[in-house]
Amino acid sequence: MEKKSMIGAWVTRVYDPEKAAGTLKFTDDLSFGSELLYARAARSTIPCGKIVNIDYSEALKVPGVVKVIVGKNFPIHFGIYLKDRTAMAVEKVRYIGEPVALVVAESEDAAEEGALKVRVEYEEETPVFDAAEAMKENAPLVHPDLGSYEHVSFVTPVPGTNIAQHFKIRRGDIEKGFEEADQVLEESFSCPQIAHAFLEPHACICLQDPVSQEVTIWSTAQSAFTLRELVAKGLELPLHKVRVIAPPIGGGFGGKAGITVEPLCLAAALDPDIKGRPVKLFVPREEVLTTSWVRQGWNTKVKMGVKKDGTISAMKVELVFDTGTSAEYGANPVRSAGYTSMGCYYVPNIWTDSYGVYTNKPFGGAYRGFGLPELMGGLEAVVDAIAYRIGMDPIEFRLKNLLKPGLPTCTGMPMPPHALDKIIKKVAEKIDYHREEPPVRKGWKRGKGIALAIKAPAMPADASSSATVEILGDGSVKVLAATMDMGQGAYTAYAQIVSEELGVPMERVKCYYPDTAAQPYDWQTVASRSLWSMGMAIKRACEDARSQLLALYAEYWQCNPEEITIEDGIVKCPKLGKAEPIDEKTQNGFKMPDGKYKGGPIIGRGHFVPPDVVYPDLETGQSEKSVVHFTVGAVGVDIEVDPGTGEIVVNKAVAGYDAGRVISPLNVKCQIEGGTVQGLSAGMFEGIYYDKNGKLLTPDFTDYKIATTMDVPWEIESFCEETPEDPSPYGNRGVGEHSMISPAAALGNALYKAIGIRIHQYPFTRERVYMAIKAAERGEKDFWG
Amino acid sequence: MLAFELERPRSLQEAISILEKFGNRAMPKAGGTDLLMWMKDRLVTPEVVVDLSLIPDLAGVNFSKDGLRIGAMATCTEVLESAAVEDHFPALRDACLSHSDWLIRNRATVVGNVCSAVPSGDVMPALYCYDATIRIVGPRGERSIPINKFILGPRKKDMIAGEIVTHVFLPLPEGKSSGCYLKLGRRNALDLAQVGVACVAIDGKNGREYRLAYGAVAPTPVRALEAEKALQGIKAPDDALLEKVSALAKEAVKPIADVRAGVEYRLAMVGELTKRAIDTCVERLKEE
Amino acid sequence: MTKREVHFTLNGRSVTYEVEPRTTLLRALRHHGVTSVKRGCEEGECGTCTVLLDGVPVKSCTVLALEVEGRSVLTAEGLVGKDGKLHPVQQAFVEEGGIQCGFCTPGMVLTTYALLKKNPDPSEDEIRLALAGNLCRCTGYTGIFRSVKRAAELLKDQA
Repeated sequence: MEKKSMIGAWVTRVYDPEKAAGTLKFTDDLSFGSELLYARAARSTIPCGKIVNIDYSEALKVPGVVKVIVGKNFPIHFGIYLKDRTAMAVEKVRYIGEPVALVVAESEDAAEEGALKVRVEYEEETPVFDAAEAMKENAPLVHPDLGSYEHVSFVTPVPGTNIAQHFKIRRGDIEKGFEEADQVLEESFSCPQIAHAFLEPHACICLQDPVSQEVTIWSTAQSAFTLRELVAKGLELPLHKVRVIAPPIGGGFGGKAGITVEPLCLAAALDPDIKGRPVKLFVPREEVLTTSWVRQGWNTKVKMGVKKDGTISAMKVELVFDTGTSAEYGANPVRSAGYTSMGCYYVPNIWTDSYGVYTNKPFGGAYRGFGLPELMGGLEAVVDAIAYRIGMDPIEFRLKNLLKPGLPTCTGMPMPPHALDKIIKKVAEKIDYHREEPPVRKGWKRGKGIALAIKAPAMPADASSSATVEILGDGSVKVLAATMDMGQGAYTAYAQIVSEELGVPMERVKCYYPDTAAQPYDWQTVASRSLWSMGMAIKRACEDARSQLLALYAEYWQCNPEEITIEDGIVKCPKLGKAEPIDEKTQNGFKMPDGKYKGGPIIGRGHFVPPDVVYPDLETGQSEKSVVHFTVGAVGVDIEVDPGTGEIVVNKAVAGYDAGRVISPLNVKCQIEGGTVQGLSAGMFEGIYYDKNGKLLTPDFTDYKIATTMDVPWEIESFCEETPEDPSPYGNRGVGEHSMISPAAALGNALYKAIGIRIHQYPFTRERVYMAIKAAERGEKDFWG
Repeated sequence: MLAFELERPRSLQEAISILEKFGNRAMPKAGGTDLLMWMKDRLVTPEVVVDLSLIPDLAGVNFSKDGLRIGAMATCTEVLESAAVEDHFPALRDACLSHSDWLIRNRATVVGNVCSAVPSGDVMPALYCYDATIRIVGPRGERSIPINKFILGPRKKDMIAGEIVTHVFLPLPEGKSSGCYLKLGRRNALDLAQVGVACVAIDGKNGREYRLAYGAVAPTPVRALEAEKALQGIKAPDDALLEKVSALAKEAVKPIADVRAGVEYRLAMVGELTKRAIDTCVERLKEE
Repeated sequence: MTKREVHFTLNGRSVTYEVEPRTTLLRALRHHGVTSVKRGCEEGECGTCTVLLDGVPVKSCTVLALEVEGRSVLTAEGLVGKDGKLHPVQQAFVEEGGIQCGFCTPGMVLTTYALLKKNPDPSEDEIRLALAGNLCRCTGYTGIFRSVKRAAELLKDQA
């Protein structure tokens, strides 16, 4: 009987039973005994100004308050790409809600009461809230010291301005490209900041041993090792003196990557009066958006040259990301959008400026899609709009200009193999794109739209992974692979790989949540990189463990290793007629024919670093291989609009991606479903808003609205093409983020079809859609409000 | 949340005396879905919270030939599942069903929604249409007050320290009636109304009578009396009349702009939902 | 404020907690290690703290602990059989991809359980309406819809 491969097998997900039972412990669920202290931030009430005085004498009088710490007690800049951020404001506040003091108390209630009693005196300065304004000469500087901040080599801030990051693409001859065009068209689209809205708020417990100075951090962290590294660098501790334990997290979507709220908690735990006691920082929902990052607001402006036959000859792209008060992480999505600014199209002459711009607002950072929902939210609307303006079918226009395998991307890197043309056609067919159908609901307006998706893992060229696979004394397997399984299902896919490679049943494979003291290194759980990069490491670790085990059995049985198989946990040598389950010999050693013991615990190890990525040139953005791979796909939606209220209902949504190889079908399906709805929710409802003084109006779920069960399609139709990737464990490439990239753009394109006016501002709220319909009735073609 | 003391009286008298004793420092609590959140955000900071849930007199939904009595502790779920409410007060049923979500409706009370007196309160427009009266007991005895006199402004109501709303009373419409509540929010559930419109149509002694009330578009819910007048006696209003009525309705309201919606949209939706609500009532009356 | 005792039935057994008046049921349960009850917002919006109070689903951040005196509280842990077997509703969520990060899951499971008790064969609209107060950011709800349908089947088979 042919053995059924575990790669691509439909299996349910590990840890789901514990999640269903509610017994899995998240960070906020851990107990630390009565020595635990609680921290709560007091926050700035002005958007910009100098701190003149902080009076916390009243806070100290609250029973239970132990200590109040202010920014100047802990002025360390922590950060991954650009160190422009401290845990609390030091001397100057830059947004309303910025932590200015930290009250540490014996109970959460006392810390909260204490925080209410901190009084701060400010000398107000002029803020700037709009990114376009902030880019102007003589705009007030959010970070006058930008020139002195440490940053990685591939991030390029412009000191003396509010530009925290400027990424450039200069490819071909842009002027010549426009001259060759028969039409030159311009379009622009924009979107406010949005929130991850993971249901588990950030939480963190920090403890420093007063003797060894070792720091232990339990945190809602996507990336235990990067957190360890950034903390160690900030505190000038050796890596082995920082331990990060990352329990399961309740959704991340990029919002718990890198280092987020941990420095604020460390400010307390490292205090000489507190050191030795664990300190917990639970960030209340209404403070999440003012403590950690959001998705950057953006404006995409595209000037496109098109020839008569519909070929794109040139494209000038300006992306302005509103990064708020910090680009510590946000600098990199700016870059990611920049080096993918051709979208899914071949553009021979392209000129891109992608800017990350400081404003006096809560700050932007990583969010599912990492610059690409921002880029493609604009670009896919632009492409659609231009197709109509030149009188070409939007799908035909896309296919005509498609970035076919082998053609250069905007960085000059040849596009790897993919099946995007097939996917586009399939999506179009599934929503019957070219058939105009009457609305299902009386009096409504129906439209169909499509948008393409593309994304590479946006990560440093040297983002590495490692794993160990230990075969235990009963044939079960312990996998140490420090990916955070935050719902994407990484551990299920890893168990499938181990089962496949070692020949043990999947139920006997266990992956553990990250702990930097126990597990080997992995960079971060971001960028849809894990099943590719960590997958390589795990596969190699399995190969290592397997060859160790087979070598021992070969000597034990006196045969060749090639004559031995492992199936369903049974080691077999058909030639000798031997078969036995893996047992304690694999742990304790094999008694060899000579009577002596050999072996001992079998631990396979594997590691991986992308072999051939070269950072794009800082002036031109050119690189022979700028990224490890691209995952492409398309989303199609069939929607209806109630012209009386502006309400949108999605009749059908279809999404297809080229996954290379699907390892875990249930996971891939669920990622696509979840990401598509997250994208539709963003497209219909989501925006972070401020009053004219920069005060956040949407701090929590009362006014930051995400889709409920009443707002989503009953089903999402998903499919995958499988054009293999190389190098890759099984040809697979990342798919976790991609489903979030284009649903909002597809929605916008469908909306245009339905109501005959192009809305240039996300999200497509009922109010905005209604107003646009009214503008359309006045004969307008574009709606900017 | 700041510390407070919780009292759980078992009789009205006991509750009244506690509330009277502490005056402004005490607040009564029914479902608590608003109160506890306001306390968490420190919008109110009572030193004593008086939980009314153990007082038998305040429970239940009772229907008689005169009308409907909704006790202070009756939850939105209890009210919307009452057969009498479905049969005779459909606008109230719609309103209860539109409120938040099932889990909140299982705690939140109709009377609590009234006493919170927020402009977007879902049940109030329907109660305005049904001419509800608020029954109050306090240190000076019992009193009864029409809902539109009881609600004074955002989070303001005609109540003094020591008083408790025991129930609301909805007289049975005099004649065959239909009703509905149409709520527009940013999404389809668990949201505050951008605009809420309640409409009740009654075939009474003087022919067809309409009542229209609006939430979230003025400091208090408002009735559009001129619009109602324009519809008086007309069983099948035509488009021209509906346009006129919706214009009159817009004159009756005074919305503000906030993060939930702008003025222009709210006004437009008052017009649109007015037409839809009237249509729905007219259709529902035809069906029966 | 001084602490007071509250006596109630938790997942079928009698318990006594000492709590302050301001302590919500959510915080009291979590303080006593019942951590399936999650704190996602503490403002009645997200539904991660759902419990069944005398069989009725409520958001435990909107309930004061002292209010459950003499009443019965069921949490997701309480649905698991003594043999460690998941309740059919929980099993359905595992089978149908109704779970990703797992943070909303205990609440979703409890609301589904309460829905199916009340209405063993809910329609699409009834499922949407019942679960509207339990937010999920990972699944897009489609896997949850499948799970509810599946749970209804499993319960029917069991009956």
